[in-house]
Amino acid sequence: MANIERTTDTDDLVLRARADADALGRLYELYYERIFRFCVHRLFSKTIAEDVTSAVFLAVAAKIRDFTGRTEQDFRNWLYAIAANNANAYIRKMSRRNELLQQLTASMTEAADCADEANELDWPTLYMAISRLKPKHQTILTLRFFENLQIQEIAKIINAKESTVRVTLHRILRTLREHLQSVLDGGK
Amino acid sequence: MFENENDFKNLVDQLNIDTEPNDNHRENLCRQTLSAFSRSRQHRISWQTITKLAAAAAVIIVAIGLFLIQRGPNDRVEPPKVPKVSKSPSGLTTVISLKMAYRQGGLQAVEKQCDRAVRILGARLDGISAGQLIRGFNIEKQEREKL
Repeated sequence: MANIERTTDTDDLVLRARADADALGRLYELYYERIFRFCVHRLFSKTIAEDVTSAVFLAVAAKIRDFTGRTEQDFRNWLYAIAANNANAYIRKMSRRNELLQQLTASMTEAADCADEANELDWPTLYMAISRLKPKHQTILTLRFFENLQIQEIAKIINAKESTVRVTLHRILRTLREHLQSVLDGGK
Repeated sequence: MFENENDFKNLVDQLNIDTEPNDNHRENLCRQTLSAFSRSRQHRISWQTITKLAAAAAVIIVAIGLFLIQRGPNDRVEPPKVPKVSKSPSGLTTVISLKMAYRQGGLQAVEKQCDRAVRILGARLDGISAGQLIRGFNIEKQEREKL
C-alpha cells in the first residue's frame, strides 16, 4: 500500500514538474545519483561523468515541458534515454575517446600494481573490455548489469523489442567474454 | 571469467567501483538545472505570447474579411439601369424592338426609339417613284463596288 502511495506521489511529481520548479527540484534529488552512477559506469571517469550528468539534467530542464509521459516509469525511461544518448555522443568524439583510454590505461596499470592476486578481475580491466563493444551494446550491458533494470525497461529506453534486447544481450556477453580474454592476455 | 548472465552479474557485484557523487557538483547542477528551467519557461512564454497575438490578428482579419463579403453587396451603389433597346438601326424598328420599348417606357419610349432610328438612317421622302428607287439603288451599288 505504502509503495503504491509513494509511486502515485512520484507520478504526481512528474506531472507537476512540467510547470513547477519545486517538483523538478525534487525529481532531480531523486534521480541525480542514479544518473551519475550510470554515467560513471558508462564513461569510467568521474570527472567526465559529472560533465555528462550536467548535460543530461540541463537537457531535462529544457525539454521537460514537452515531455509527454505521465508516470515515474516514463520519466525514468526518458531520463536514461537522454543519459545514454549523451554518453554515446561523448564517446563518439575520437579525441575524448583517446583521453578516456589514456585514463583507463593509467588506472589499469595502477590497479595491476595494487592487485593482491594476479588473476583477480578489476573494474579498469572489465571497462577496457566493455569499451570495445559498440556504444549501443555498452548501454544495454550497463543498464542490465550495473543499473539492474529489467529487459522490459531497457527495451523502452532504447526503443527496441524485448526479444531483440534479450538476444542482443546474449550476443553482447559472448563478445565481451572474447574481449575480456583478449584484454587479460595483454590486449592482442 | 563468466559463463552466463548470473555469473556476470556476480562478477559486477564484486567489483569495487567508486560512484560516490561530489556534493558540490550536485548542488551546482541543481541550481543550473532550475535556472535553465526558468529560462526555458520565459522563452516559452514569450513564444506563446507571440503565437497568441498572431492567432488573434489572423482571426480578426478573417472576421473582417467575412463581414465585408457578407455586407458588401447590400452597401454597393447600383449603377443606373440602362434600358435594353436594340442599337443597330435596322433593329430599332423591328416589331419586337418596338414592343420592348413600349413595355419599358410606353408610347414615349417608342417615339424616342423611332426618332433615334431616323437620326441614324437619315430623313427619307414620304413617297418615291420606281425610277428614283432604281437610281438610288444603282448609286448605292456603285458605291459598294468602289469600296
